[in-house]
Amino acid sequence: MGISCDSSFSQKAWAESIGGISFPLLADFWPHGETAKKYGVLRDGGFPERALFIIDKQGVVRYIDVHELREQPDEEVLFEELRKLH
Amino acid sequence: MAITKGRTSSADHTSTLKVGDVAPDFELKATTSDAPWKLSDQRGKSNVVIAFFPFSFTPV
Repeated sequence: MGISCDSSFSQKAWAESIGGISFPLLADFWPHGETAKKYGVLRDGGFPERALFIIDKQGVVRYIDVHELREQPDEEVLFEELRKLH
Repeated sequence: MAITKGRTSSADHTSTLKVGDVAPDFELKATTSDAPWKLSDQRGKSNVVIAFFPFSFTPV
């Protein structure tokens, strides 16, 4: 799931503009950034950090990665963490 | 602004969460359905990856 504080309209238009995204985008738009705040990743400008969370079937947080805004996380690291859960 | 792929993680915890905590439930509007998507609906069914990203339509 991808989450940003943009509206669902923006997210849909964006997903279409880049040729579609294979997972749903969730709009944390109103109350603005409420979910990002719960997860401790809402920045002062009202937008979220670039952050990854893995939540297992029991609803427990198993992995957290808060990344530099300008850097894209290495997805292999994430996949390795997911393999550990299976 | 170019985005580079980096292995460096700036943090493995946030101001409210660390590994081992119960994930706060939330319900948000999804791009793929009219019904809201709720985290707790996945309990007992599947692991969930959540990717927060700063903005749509920008290189950020």
